Amino acid sequence: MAENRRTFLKGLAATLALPSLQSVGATVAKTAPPTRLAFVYIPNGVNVGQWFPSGNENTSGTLEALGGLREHYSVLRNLDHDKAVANGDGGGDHARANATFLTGCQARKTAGSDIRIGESVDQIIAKQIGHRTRVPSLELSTDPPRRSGNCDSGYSCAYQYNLSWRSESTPAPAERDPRMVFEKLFGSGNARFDAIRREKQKSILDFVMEDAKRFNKRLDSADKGKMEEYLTAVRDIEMRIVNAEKFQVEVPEEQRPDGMPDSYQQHIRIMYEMMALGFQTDTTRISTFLLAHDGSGRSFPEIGISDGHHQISHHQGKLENLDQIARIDKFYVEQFAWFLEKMKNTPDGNGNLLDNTMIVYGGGIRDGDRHDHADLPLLLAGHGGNLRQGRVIHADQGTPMTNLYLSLIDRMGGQAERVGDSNGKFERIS
Amino acid sequence: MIDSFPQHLSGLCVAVAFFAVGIVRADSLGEQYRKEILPIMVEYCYDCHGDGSSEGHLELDSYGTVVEMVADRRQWKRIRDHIDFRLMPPPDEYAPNEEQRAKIVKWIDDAVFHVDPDNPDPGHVTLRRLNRTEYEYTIRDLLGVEAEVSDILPVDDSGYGFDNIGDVLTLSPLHMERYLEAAEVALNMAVDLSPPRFPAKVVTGSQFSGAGVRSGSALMLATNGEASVHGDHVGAGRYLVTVRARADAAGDEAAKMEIKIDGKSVTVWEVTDGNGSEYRTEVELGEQKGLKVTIGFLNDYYDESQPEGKRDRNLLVEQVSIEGPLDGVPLKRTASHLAIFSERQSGQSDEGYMLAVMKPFIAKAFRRPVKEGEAERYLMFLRHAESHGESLGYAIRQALAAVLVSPSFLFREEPGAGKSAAGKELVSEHALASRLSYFLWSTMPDGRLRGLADRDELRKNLDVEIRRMVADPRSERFVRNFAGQWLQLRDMDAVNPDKREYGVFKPDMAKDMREETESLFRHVMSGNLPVHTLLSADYTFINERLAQHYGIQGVEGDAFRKVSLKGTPRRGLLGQGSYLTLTSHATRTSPVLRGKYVLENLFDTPPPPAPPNVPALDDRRRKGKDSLTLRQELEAHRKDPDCASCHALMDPIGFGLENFDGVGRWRENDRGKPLDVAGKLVTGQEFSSSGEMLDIFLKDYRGQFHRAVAVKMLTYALGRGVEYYDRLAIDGIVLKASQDDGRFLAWITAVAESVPFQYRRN
Repeated sequence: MAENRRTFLKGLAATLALPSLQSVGATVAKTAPPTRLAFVYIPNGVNVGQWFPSGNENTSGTLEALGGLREHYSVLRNLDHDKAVANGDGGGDHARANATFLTGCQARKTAGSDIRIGESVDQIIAKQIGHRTRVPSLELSTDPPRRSGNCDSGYSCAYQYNLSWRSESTPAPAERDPRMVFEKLFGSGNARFDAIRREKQKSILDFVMEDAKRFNKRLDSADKGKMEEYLTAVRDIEMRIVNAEKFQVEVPEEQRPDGMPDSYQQHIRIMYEMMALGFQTDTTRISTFLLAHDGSGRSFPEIGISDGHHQISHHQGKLENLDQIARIDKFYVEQFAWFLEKMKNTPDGNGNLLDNTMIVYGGGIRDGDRHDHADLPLLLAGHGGNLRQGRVIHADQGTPMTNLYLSLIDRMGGQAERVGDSNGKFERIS
Repeated sequence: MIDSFPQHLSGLCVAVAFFAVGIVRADSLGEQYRKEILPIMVEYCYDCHGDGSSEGHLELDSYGTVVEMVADRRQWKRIRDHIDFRLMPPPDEYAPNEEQRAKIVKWIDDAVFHVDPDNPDPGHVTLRRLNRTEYEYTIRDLLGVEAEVSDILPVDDSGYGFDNIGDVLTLSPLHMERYLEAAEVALNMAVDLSPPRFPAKVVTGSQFSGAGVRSGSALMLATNGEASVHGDHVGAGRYLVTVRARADAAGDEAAKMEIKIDGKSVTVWEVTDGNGSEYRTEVELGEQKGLKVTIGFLNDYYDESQPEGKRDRNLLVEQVSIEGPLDGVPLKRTASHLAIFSERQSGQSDEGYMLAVMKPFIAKAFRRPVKEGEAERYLMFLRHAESHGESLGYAIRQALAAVLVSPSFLFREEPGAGKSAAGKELVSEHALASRLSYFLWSTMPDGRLRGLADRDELRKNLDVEIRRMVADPRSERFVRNFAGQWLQLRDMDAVNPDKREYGVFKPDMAKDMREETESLFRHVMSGNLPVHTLLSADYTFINERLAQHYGIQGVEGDAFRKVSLKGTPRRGLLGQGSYLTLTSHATRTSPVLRGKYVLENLFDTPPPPAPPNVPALDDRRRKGKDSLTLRQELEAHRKDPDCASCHALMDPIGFGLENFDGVGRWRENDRGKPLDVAGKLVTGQEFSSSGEMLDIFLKDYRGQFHRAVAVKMLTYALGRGVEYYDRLAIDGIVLKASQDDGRFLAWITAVAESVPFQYRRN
């Protein structure tokens, strides 16, 4: 196997001498546009009264900003994350909500040793279809950098800050710097330089692969997992290098971000933009976006809220808090509406990008004061995978959120018997 | 139930061989349980947790044997801590006296968490990846350049309060991508593969005199003519002359630029580029005193009938440089380059030279001696370069990059010294050097540590080395990384007090407050003071801004200095802005958070997490007639028995500090209402002010504080959570350090000498 891989890489190295590396337009044959999938996470629960529609119309006070987009999304009801419930593990609902959201698994309660949760739905799909694009999946975040290492109620911070998990013990960290995201998708802008760099990296990776194998022999069994992580990472980057040459793309140079945005709103929008660019150029088909980690204490000076979101979310039924929560919810929905508009205005195949994308938007806590994980605040947007939108879609009481994921995996052309605690598919979405 | 204690053991056939000794112990401990412990449990616990009651899913009588208890250590750790921290029985219930509590705790420690003092378990440190901070310091020390690479790397996850925990320092493809990138950035700074450079004299166009006009730093020749500059003495040899010039194009030929040296024409260039290009030529010069360089414009053109932009031909000379002699001694490369690329011996083959460069580099980078055949593998890059027509320098640079993403560089391998006893072996001298340097300096061992380890002498000189390391400026990283996380000072970057409520809190103040606490910690460290000084100091380190904030007179300017606190109510950390602000909400203080911080970080008695789905106290007081004070509201909240026992632990501490507002200013009233800060700790001591409370802490809680110091330092030093089997190590550290009055160096030394630091499990 290893021999084959190496021969393959060498073969590619030989073709590198070709003069024009930056081809104009995708080299892939024009066929029907692929389906894309995105997950967007909002923390700390919502103002339940304002968020959920009162009847069967997919509107509510909080969802007002989506008014012009009503036929493009639905509100999902009765989807639960039972594995985010304590189930005997005590406090730590924020860490669990975050960790369970895309995995559907019960986070093993530990502050460090033996972290265990489960592979997340985006990574399950990325492993199956990620090789079809330059970048298998794109993990984004607008959470500020972490400081000292104390997290929720005895859970390691790994649970509370990561949405995507490559394996049950290895998170896929998200990027928060839009410049680096752009470079990951499209390179430095100098195709010759990028090609030389890839060539150099290939021989280095080949070399350290052997290093890791030797290293691994010296390790005791408890540490072998670490070298497995390392080897997986090396293989993944090698594959990405191959893909970077296989799938060449025109670099939307005019959209290269020039730095970290000043405001939260700008930051969110530019990250949405990166996601849309990744989809538009078919550089990636799968993306997750952590707006802020669950338990986030971010304040919102742009809408006049100086207290921390988490603190406010423990509202105890007080009107002032509930009002502030609703304003924060709306703020996030407004950015989401902006993103959907952008997707809708981006041509893709015979239609637009929104036609070919499925987007799950929501959080792992329903009400921040109760830390409940049933009937979660969730939207499903876009028309990829023949989704039927413009509705409130009711699941049966007690339907695992992960049933939705199984159905989405199907629509992405992937296969899975189950995701976390799924016990079937949720097909009412079409 | 408990009568069945000894009998049950006979069923454990499989385990007999292993637990043969254990059974004897379990037997006598079982006996002790029945006679001494069980009666207390029945009296005070069984109402809710026995005889058919199972509040909180706990039935104490479901554990028939010590072995069954041992099999459920997680639960018994909770039981033990609930009794030890006085969380159970709940307030207002009959409770065992102090002696009885101590007895139960000791029995649980002996029976369920038994540690064999003759054969301690050093534990397993999961292979640690360098975190971003360590990576940056290490690559800087290794390459000798101030590369800023930590921002390129993904953020690290943390555990047990620290970001250097092996278990959570995972490695994803994103990491690998960024390690490749970071290595590139750092090597670009450290390695110089450009052609050799020679001394150069550079003059700008505007320094020329003669024809033309000087425009900015350039010389503009709008009509035919020449201008000259006089240079200094030069030695004989070949020189490279470089002229940077541009031209405005017009007419049907390019602008012609002539260069003369000492009046003699050297060459004529056609200048076509409107944006500027470099024009080069080589000249042979003899030994001479001075040098005259002349630039001439030979073919001016002007035709008014042509459209704008095609009408006028001009020449602009920006800069002229003369570099050489090219056959003389080239300029020295940077120190970082020379440190890696050692001088090549005459007659040394490419392979021989590459090995000579790689061997010492690998040993430094991997923090251990080079293994057999290890350096030779890197010759692959030489063969690869040769077959691709690349240079030896290129091959070496590729090899260096490969070292920087190798697992041996990124992970801290800590092999044993080869002398193994049952269950454990000493870590090798090089592993010990690494453990020490990452503990105190957050970077790789320096030359001296490496040398000692090479000679097998580090262990013998541990004391001396620790002293040296603490005195070294690099120990500042211990302040930033250890104290910064232990005392949560890093979180000061994120505090955001409400502008209306705390308009007095200026943006710079967060940094000042962090600096204040770091200064105190640094003072304790460099002065080798007892660690309780962190709590008891009647002085602090402040600048004018903080002094004003605290209401202290006579401190002027931005500089921090030691200032006495005598006559003020502030003492130590608990009177400092950092702690007081960190533990407050944006608009008000939080007695709960203040108490929790003290219990978690300073007394190592972390209160258990709030029960799920119990709302925390709200932030804002209700408005209107029936408004409660914060204290009244919290007391109402505490009536809930689920919450009561825990809050009885945390709240009195926080209330004792209510005279400090949410940004650390002193106050007598809260929103017009006089403050009542009197209280009673869960251990019974009463106080009426923060000063009295602190006295109680220093007198009665010193042991707990010391334990916290030991646990936090050991966690940070090992990069793993502290486990039950570390109890004796922790006891040992506390004992050793206390014998030296709890002085700073004694802690570091005791940690470094402890079994888990010195040994590895095998």
